[in-house]
Amino acid sequence: MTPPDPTHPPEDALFDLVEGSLDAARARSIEQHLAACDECSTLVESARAGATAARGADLSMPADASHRLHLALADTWDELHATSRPLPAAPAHTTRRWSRRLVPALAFALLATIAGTSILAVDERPGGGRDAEEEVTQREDADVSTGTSADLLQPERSRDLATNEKSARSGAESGAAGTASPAVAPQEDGGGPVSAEAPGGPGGPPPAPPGTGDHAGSPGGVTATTPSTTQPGPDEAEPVPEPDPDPETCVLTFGQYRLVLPDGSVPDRVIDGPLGMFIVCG
Amino acid sequence: MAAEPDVVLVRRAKAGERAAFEQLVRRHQDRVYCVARTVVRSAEDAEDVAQETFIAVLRHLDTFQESAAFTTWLHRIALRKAYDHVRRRVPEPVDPAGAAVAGLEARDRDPIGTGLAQTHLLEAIGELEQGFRDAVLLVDVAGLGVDDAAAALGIAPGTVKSRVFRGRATLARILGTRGLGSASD
Repeated sequence: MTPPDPTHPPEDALFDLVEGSLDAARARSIEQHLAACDECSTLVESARAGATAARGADLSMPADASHRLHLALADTWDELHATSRPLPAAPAHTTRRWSRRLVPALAFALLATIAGTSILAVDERPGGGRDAEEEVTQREDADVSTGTSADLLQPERSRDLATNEKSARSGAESGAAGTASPAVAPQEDGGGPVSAEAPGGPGGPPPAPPGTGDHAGSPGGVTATTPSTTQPGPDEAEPVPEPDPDPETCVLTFGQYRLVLPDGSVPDRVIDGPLGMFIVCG
Repeated sequence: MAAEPDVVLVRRAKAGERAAFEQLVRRHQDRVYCVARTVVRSAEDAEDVAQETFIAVLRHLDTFQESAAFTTWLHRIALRKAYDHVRRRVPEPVDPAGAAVAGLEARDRDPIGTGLAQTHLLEAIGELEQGFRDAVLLVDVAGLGVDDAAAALGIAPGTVKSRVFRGRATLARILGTRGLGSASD
């Protein structure tokens, strides 16, 4: 960086000159220089013009953008102030207090039941056109608390559905139609039942994870059994591939979770249902 | 609440008065949008930046030290959000033909006062080197004082002055070459 020319005023002083904030003596000195220096005088004139232009910048926020801004801020305000709002006082009536504890628990149980029932509502789709939106895996030590199709629900690990779907589709079409393990319910259209339980139940042989190709089940249908099974039970006609390395069963969660089948097959379609639950259908 | 200083509105907003915060936003949203628009060069992105800026202000309002000017803090956040947005954005192809047409249209109009001319003015400011651009944006567009702009940029006041001076002179040359606004050369 070249040192400033001592014969020319420094630019911060020229700024003050443009702004009119220089003391009189200093201003006179600089003005005298400008009268004799075309370079500096041109620079100062350009700066004056640029200041006029820049100060004229007055682009107002569009009305619709302003509206959206204030809506977003209102939501944020409510969020911030809702968390700091003191909790309402507990009612004096004991029965109501008791109800406050029981009602949420009952609601949760009801939702879990609904979720489990909904998962079982699987339509058997002819052909291999699986449209799996969720990866289906199975918990190795299946935490089958209810022994129902709710066991199929597992937290979603990844959204790599394309890969899993492809593998599941190939696997599902290769096996025979599977039937339910003891912990399953029939599909809505009478198709193969769905079960997340590993063949043989808890502690049984691990299922075929998606991608292995060893999936059983009717084409397009949802099955719960091992690749070669046509009936439930722990008996497996074919060796079971390695289980999903992340076996975890969740009975009910809000948000993303996976439908797990013992053979690792993917249901025809898993869509979001009410309250974030998945509904499996053909 | 009309014409109340920023510090009063900030105190009231901290105390839970939503209307005070809304007043604060309405007072500064255009300037913030203008600054953002100059940096990100897109109306849609400028809206996002403005929203992110004010949401950040709201979330961290309790941490704002009233010893500093509210506008200093506000525009520091706005600049940071704007440059973060630029860094995250995938570069778009330049349309020189479209820009030339827009320039011709602008010259047919009053240079200052129309939306299109304003857009081109902000584009010209956006063409400045970042150091000059930020200084001009804060001092001339946002209206900050030199000391406040220096605090927002983290540089000395003398440096702000020289950058603004150079930035203004360069801006005038850019506008002159585009036929927008007056130019000394």
